[in-house]
Parts: sequence; C-alpha cells; structure tokens
Amino acid sequence: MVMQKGMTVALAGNPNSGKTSIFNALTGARQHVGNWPGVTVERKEGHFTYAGVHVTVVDLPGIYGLTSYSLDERIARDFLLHGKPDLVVAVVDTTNLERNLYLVLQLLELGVPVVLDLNMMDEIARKGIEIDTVALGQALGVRVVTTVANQEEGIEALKEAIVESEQHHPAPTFKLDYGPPVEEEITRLQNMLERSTNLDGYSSRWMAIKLLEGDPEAQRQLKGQPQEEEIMSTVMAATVRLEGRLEDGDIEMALVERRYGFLNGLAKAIIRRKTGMERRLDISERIDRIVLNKYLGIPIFLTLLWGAFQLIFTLGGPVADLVDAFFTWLGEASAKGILALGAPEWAASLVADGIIGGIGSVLVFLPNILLLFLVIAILEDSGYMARAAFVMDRLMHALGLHGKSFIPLILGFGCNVPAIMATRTLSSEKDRILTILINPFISCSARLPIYVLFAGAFFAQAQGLIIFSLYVLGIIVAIGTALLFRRLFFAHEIAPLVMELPPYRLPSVRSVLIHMWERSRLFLTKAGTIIAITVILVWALASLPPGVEYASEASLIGGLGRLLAPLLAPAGFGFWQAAVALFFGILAKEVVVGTLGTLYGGEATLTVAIQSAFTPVSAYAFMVMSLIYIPCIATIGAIRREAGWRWALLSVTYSLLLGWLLAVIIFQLGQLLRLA
Amino acid sequence: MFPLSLATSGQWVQICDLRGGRGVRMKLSQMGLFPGQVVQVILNDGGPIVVGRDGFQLGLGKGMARQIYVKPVTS
Repeated sequence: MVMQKGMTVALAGNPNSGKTSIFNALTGARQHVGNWPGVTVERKEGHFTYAGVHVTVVDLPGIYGLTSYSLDERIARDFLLHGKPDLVVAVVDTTNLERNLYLVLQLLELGVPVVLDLNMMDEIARKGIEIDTVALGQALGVRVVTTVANQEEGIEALKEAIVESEQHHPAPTFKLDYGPPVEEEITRLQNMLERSTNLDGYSSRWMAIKLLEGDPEAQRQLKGQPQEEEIMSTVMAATVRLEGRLEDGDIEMALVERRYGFLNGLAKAIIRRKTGMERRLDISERIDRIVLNKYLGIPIFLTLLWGAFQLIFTLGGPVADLVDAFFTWLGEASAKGILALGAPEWAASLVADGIIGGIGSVLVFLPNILLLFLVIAILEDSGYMARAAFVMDRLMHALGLHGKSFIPLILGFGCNVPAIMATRTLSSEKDRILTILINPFISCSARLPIYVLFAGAFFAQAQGLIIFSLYVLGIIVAIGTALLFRRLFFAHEIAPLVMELPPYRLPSVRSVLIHMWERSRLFLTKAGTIIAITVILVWALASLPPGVEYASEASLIGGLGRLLAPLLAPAGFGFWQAAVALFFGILAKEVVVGTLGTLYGGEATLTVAIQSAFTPVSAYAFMVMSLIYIPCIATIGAIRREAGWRWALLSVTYSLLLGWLLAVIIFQLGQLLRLA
Repeated sequence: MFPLSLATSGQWVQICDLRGGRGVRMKLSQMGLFPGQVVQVILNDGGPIVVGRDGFQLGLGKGMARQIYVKPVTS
C-alpha cells in the first residue's frame, strides 16, 4: 500500500486580491466552512490531490499585514505561527504589486515558507505592463507562479509548485536590511532572545523586530519568561537610542518606510511599462465621481435600495403564492393518504397540521429570502456595497455610528445572524458592539411572515404601507437605541473611516449564486431543524394531556399560555394563543406564524381565526411586539459569541421591555382614539 | 504641507506625515498610504475623499483625511 502524503497550505493575501477565486479554483467543490477557534470569523478549508499528494488548503482572512491591531490579522498570524502550515501561498493582485508585496515581506520576515502567486496577470497584460518574474523570485528567494484565477489559468502550475515545495523544503532566505542603527539593535536583541527565551515558533529576528515596533502581542509572548525584565529593559534602551538617531524618531514608521523603500526599488527593477500607456481615469473612477458625489450619493443609494425591495416583493410574491398552494395541497393530500392507510386521526393531524402546516407557513417565504440574498450578493460582488458604506458615513456619524456599521445593518434585513458576524470588519471594539446591539431591530426576513399574515388579515387595503411602517419603526428604534447606548456605554470618538474601494466589476453569475446559496442555506436548515422541532413540540403540547381537545385551553400549551397571557393584556392580546406564539417565537420568529398556524388549525382557517381574536389596533400592537420583543435564539447566540454574555443579556432585557412598552402604548393610544 | 482634506479633486499629492494613534497609522501604511507615497485625489467634493494610484483606490472619511498631511507634487 502506498502511504498517501499530506500537507497543509495556507492562502494569504490582501482583500480583493482574488484569493477566494484561487481557493475555489484549487479546491473546487471540496470545501468545508467552519469557524476559527474562539471567534465566529469564517474559516474555509478545502482539499485537492496532485501527483499523489493530498493537500489541505486553509483560506486565511483577507489582510493587509500581520500587526496585532485587527482581529483578522491576529487570526492569520496565529494560524501561521501555531497552525504550522507546510507552505503559505501568497496571492498577490499584480496590478497593485507594491502594496500587495508589503504583506509578502511580512510573511517572509515571519519565517514561513512562501510560494508567490502573481494573480490577475490578464489585467497586467492589458495595461501594457511586463514583469520580470525570475528577478522577483530571486530578490525575495521564493518560487513565483502566475495565474488568472477567474479564468482558472495557471492553476495546474500553482498546484505543481505547492506539491514540489514539499520535496524541496524551501527555507526562507530573505532578509530585509533595515540599515546600521536598526540592525545593530535587532542583532543585540536576537542574541538575548535566542539565549533565554522560549520563542514558541516565532523566529528570533521577527520577535526582535516586533519588540522594537512595540507590538503588544510580542510583548505578551514574552510575559512570564525568565529574562522578561532584562529583555524589556534592553528594548527600552534600544528604543531610546534609535529614536535619537532616526529622522522623525518613530521606529515603527521608520521600519514601514524602509520596507516600502525596498519594495519601490524592487518594483522599479522588475516592472517594465510599455510607452504610450499613460495613466488615465479609469471607468471605476468615472463612476465613483457620480456615485460618491456629495449631492447624488445618497439619492442614488436610496433609489437602488428601493429598486431592490421592489424586485424582492413584486417578483417574490407570485412565486411565494405557488409555494403556498403547494403546501396547502401537500397537507390535504397527505392527511387523506394517511387516513386511507388506516392510521389514527392524530397521526394525520401531526403530519398535516403540525409538520406540513408549520414548516409550510415558513417555507412560503423562501422565494423572498432567496431574492433578498441575491440582491445583496450582486451589490457586494459588483463593488457597490463598499461605496454605500462610504456614502452613508456622514449620516451614520450623526447617529453615533461608523460608516462601516452600515453594511451589517443592510444585511440585517436578510438575517441578523450573518449581519452580526459581518460587524467584525469594524476595527473599533466599541463601534462593533454598538452595531451588534442595534442590529436585531432591523427587521429580518423571518419577521416578514408575521407582518404579511396580520397586515393581510386586518389592513388589506393598505398592506404595503403597514408593512413598510414596521420596517421604518425598526430603523427608528435602532437609531434611537444607537443614540442612547452611545451616550450610556460608548462615549468616545468614532474610529475614522478608511476602506478599500475595489474596482467595479460585472458580478459573475456563478459567484453570485454561490453567495446567495451560502446565506439562504441557513434559513433552510433553520426551517428543517429548529422550526420543525418547535412546531412538532407545539403540536404535542397542544394535544396533551391525552384526550384533551386539540389546541384547546385545557391542553398543556393552553396552560402555559394562560400563565403568560395576563402580562400581554395591556397590549390588547392577552389570550393564550398569542402568548404561546410569542413564547415559541423566541426560538425563531417564523415560528410565531407557524405556532398560530398549528394552534388555529392550518393556514386556510388562520386568517379567519385571527380576525376574530384580534382587533386592527391589537393586531398592529402584536406586529410591533413581534418586531422588537426579543432577538431569536440564533441571534442571541451570535451576540453572545461576538460581544459576550453581558451584552447579550442586556440586549434581551432591553428589547423585551421596549417591545412590551411600545405594544402597550400603541394599543392604549388606539383605544383612546377610538373612544374619542 | 496641508491636510489631505484640503486637497482638490484631480490633484497629485505626496504623503508627508500621518497623525493619530499607532493602530491607525499602521493600518493606513499597510493599505498603501505611507509617508513618501504619491497618490491622486480622485474625489474631494466636501463629502468623503477618494484617493488612488495604479491598482488601488481608497475611501477616507473626513476625520481620517484631516490626519494625513500631504504636499502637492507636479507630475
């Protein structure tokens, strides 16, 4: 038997360097998405086999460097040092060589073996630029491969380079010379570190450089080591000496300039531009002058948003009706079928009312949700989403938020869980937590079924307007909460905004569909798991104790509902079915409709049933309650993971109180107006 | 030397100095805005500011642009 050899390769690169395309081209469909330990940042892993070698590819987060200032960079750095990859493939956007190579320099300084992948070579050719890849490889001491990832060019050569590196074990030989004063100090520190310290995988030179830069993570690494004090005092002395000798006295910036200085020289030596190709304003820049214009920016953005919602609801509606009809038919047909087989009535009820009725009332919204995520994927892949954050920056500032808070808020209209995960792009912890806390008030797609049901039953004439008002109310609550919490918990300057504006491109159908699917899958699995289980549980509790009339007040669930109902009386829906629906709605908001469907005996009779149970005012109060009263379990979990228990607890308490209070105010005001 | 927020659209400038905390300065540098770098101001109409050069384009909030000191370059 031949032992199959295996190796692990990490993919590193700047955001927008085409890293994801390379990952997809290398691994095809053999991917697995998980989380990095301790954080919810997505960790993608894939596999391929080449020349008998089994290769595991780990996709690192897109990063600009290896400082410890941002979460993404810390994750990448930790994996490079402790995950012990056999090789790092550095993916480089060749059109922006100098900046992309800055990260490569840091990888080389870290002491990891690197294969350099010059990506987007087609654009280089189009711009009339030639690159001497041999000289580049020699200067950095690495093997260089060229690719055009989105056309899958050069992928075989890349695989070959990866697998061959295993045989050659390319020890990194590259060493950047920082000039005499700095090098003296580096050598001095390196000697001390090598003598006394457990470096835990860090190279002594890297560690010495990071200590001189004052990197907090490197200092932490040193904590508790026998020679800690001696080394730190040497670092201090070195810092004082260097600050005196360097021009502007800032060591960290001096090292940065030195690295860029080297890269600038390197670029000059290897890049040849064909003459007659002057830099002109490219299409992206022309579009940006309009899209980012002071006066046009916001109107353009709002028009796009309005168009997106139109598309989602006008196109999604008819398809949703079809799904609805299908489940109604399926429920009736399966009940008949089960009874015809001689099964007892309760089994037919379980399948028809419980499972198909409950899950069906939720899956009806799949078309809308698919379309919503399609629109979001198009906005992201085309490059517009980054601009939207940018356009909204000033407005967001006025609300005490960061421009980048805006993308998670938009994603919240789809589902708050990925939206909360998306806040990790915010570098300030306080901005990030605030953005997380207001996110649940952005009305996610799971709440839509509730609005559609109640607005249809009570406000048929003004259905659209009523639903729209709930979305607006959610936004108002989010803004109010932001202003309040900013004042209460996060009194500080909002971190300044800087973000890459990737060139506009026509999104590829494949990648948009992959994006859409990845996100919608969450909704589907939810429908298959949490929602299905809850609906069956509700059905069982409504059928017990044995002999009780199904979904009557005497059932177990009726007892639970009666316990909670008095609390809801001031809001106008103090009856047990509403209490039960809201109670189980904590598991997932779609369940509110699913539960009502199960309790009132299926979709067909649901509208009539709620029309007799609610008044228009209490129906509106109920919708407001459903919008605000609590984030669903999955969202609470996401808040806890991203921000911690205390914030999750605050979010739950605050939204419960606020939701109840608003529902009560609306109902009582409505009553007053009616009396008057 | 003047803050980037005062540069005009279309102007080429060289970055002279980055102010602000360590984290911010490192971030700007890694994203390609380091002292000595030459960039074109693509858009500055009173809102956020866009700068770029071959291969990349960055958007900067007003607050950020005030921390970046530049001088004009004639090309």
